[in-house]
Amino acid sequence: MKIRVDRDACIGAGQCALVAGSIFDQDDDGLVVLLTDTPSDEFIAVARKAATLCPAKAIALEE
Amino acid sequence: MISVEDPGLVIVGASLAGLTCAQSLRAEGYTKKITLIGAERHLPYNRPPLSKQVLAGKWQAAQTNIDSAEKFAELGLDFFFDEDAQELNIASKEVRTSKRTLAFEDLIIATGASVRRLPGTESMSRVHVLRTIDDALGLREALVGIKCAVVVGAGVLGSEVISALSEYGIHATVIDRMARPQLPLTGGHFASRVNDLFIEHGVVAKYGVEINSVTEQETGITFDLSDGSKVSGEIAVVAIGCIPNVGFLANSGLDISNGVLCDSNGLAAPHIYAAGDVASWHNSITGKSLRLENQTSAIEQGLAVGKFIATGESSPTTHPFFWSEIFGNKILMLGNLEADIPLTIVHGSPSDNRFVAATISNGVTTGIVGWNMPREFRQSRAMMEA
Repeated sequence: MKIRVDRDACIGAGQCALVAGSIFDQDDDGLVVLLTDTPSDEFIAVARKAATLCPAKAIALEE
Repeated sequence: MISVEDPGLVIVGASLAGLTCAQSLRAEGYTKKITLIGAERHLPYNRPPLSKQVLAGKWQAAQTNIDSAEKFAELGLDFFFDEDAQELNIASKEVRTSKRTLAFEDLIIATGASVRRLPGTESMSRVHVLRTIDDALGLREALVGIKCAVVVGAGVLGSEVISALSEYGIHATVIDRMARPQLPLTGGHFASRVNDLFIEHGVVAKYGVEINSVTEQETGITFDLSDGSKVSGEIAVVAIGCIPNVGFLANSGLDISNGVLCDSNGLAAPHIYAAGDVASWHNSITGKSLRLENQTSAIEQGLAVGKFIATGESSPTTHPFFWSEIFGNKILMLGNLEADIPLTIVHGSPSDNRFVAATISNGVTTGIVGWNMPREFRQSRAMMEA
């Protein structure tokens, strides 16, 4: 699975870093920073949860 | 025993809430038929960018789509576009639409809300509203080449519109019947801060006034106000809230006094659920029923209803969350700030225009706001879990 983030859409809510802190962080403006775009299998479920919960729909998963 | 085809589940409303229900049902292992009925002609799309990136001209319409058509197809839904629900019969478990009658085992109401219009202005071409993608594109076009506009409503949407007008160099006059600007769930704590932003950007604000009449001329629009003054602009944008879409439920027997009244699982009656802007869920944290018109509630309620129908498991109650961007200031809000409790500054400083603030009542944090401090806001969310 590959993760893409759209920083133009990101609003810095931090939902992704809350539920999947090993994959997502925030920069000083709060915008999403991708720590890895290819999470290992054990983190796929939380990556999917982060994408679903993102209020700006700025996270896309390519299965 | 007579065997009939399993009617499965019907979702009324191809909204974010409706789509999230469908995604959640499939993710939780629901294998029966799902039928989705949408009143608009579009695939489900995001509304928050309409008053932000779309109005500012930074995004094209397609960037608001929630999922690609391919991803959408993977959910295995029967999807009917451009079709209105007209009547729900709970006893016979049928919903009648503008094109057919559908039987269901379970039904999810996710019809959202419609924009509230200013009476008498419905057919005025210079009076705009902002709710749908078509509204946003129409308004963006109307802004080209104009110099002044009137905004009715100093709420969060009105404030975002005023910010966009300012970016285009358009002078704005704002009218509100309330005494000050209103941001939802903030208990009035940010009214003067928002008003200061208006003043700083040359916005003329008229608070505490009623509109007596509206007249459209060849070149503009004029509002006669209750204080005897008149305000004019080349166009007007009316941002005075939304009305839940419950018309088709009038004879259903459901309580629709403020949207569809539901328990904390989204259940309105046996086998009947509601999610999103149309739903008024019981919130077990506050003990009150709350109808919320925001993106995060639509997502969380959609997830919760899907999981409950597929597995019978309840989801934990969450705090309301919204965000806004007003004159470049990023505002994040979780929970509910109480009007009569002074703000505690948790990070930063209001005088630096970067801070996180909370209301704390008897040791319980009831709301947190982040003003240009998103990362610290996220870190402070733990205060709400305590």
